[in-house]
Amino acid sequence: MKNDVLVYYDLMTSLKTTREVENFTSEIDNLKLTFFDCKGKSIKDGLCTISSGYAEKIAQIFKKNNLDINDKDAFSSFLETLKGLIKKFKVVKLVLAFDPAEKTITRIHNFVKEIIGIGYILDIEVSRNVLGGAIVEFDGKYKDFSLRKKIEDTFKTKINLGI
Amino acid sequence: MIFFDLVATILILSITLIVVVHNLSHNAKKNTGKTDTESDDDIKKSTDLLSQTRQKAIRLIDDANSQALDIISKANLTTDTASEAFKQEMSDISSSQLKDFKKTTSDFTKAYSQVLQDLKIKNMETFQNISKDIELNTMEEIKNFKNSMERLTTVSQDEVKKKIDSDYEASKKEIEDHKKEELQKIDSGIYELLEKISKLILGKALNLSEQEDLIEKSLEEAKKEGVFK
Repeated sequence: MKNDVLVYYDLMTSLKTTREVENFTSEIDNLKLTFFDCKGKSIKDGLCTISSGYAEKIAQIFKKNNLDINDKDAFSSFLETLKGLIKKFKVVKLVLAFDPAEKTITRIHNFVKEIIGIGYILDIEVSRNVLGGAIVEFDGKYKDFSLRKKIEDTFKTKINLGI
Repeated sequence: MIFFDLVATILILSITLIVVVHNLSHNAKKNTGKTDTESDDDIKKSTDLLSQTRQKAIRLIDDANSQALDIISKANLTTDTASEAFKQEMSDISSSQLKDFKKTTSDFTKAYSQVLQDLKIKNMETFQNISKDIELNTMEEIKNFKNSMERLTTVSQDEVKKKIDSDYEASKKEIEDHKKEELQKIDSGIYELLEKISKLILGKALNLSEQEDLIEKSLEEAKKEGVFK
């Protein structure tokens, strides 16, 4: 099994949020359990026990890289490497005024990838009081760029100026 | 003294005379038993003898009286002389005593006056000292009282000042807290109002694309402010 990160690139970049990562990690754990507990089952049978989307992506990865999906050792190594890479994700927490749809999440994730690079996932929290924009938290740093904050700052400035 | 000597002499002579008369009488009685002749002679002799004796006795008594009178007169003279001398002496003594007494009295009076004067001066000094002591003590007491009052006044002033300062600070803090609380209420009210207005206006005005733009803008600002470093 190749240890080249590019092998995992598509799969890794497809994970955009912490929720997706948690689900995927849970799927991997389930797959490993199924795969190793039931020795009579093939890997393909095992992939059927996880969500079709992830199963399809894994199958595509093996196919794209000319790997034998029935090679249990290679597959096991693949899963372990994948879990190790997932743990290296950096989390950008965003507090938004609305619950974003998949399309919006993709747009935001792509934007994050564009401005700071790959290896980041989003932890999205919803708070109606934000009104718009986002509160950004990363690596212990916190910045409020919400519309509410902007309105409050503007209002305070006006009060201080006596307007 | 002379008078008593004369009296004693007269008494002795009288006793002697009585004894002589008694003896003669006794002899006469003894011769009563003799013969008449003899008796007549004897009586005659005896009578003569008695007469002689009586005369002698009378002479003796007269002499004695004379001597006694002489002695008495002498004694009286002596007595008078002595009395005069005594009187004089007494007078002199009295005068002397009186003089001495007067002198002593004068001295005593002087001494007494001096003692009184000294005592008076001493008493005055004592009184003055006592007055001075009383004055000093009183002044000291007044000074202590004044100091105590000043201390008490200072302490009271400090306590009152502290209390006023404390109350002032408490009141100031209370006012500040109340002001802050009221401002927060106002702010909160205004923000709530603004929030409602924003929700009403922006909620309708901001579409999904605009929301996404705002999010991207937030991320850009976060990058600019070094959130991702």
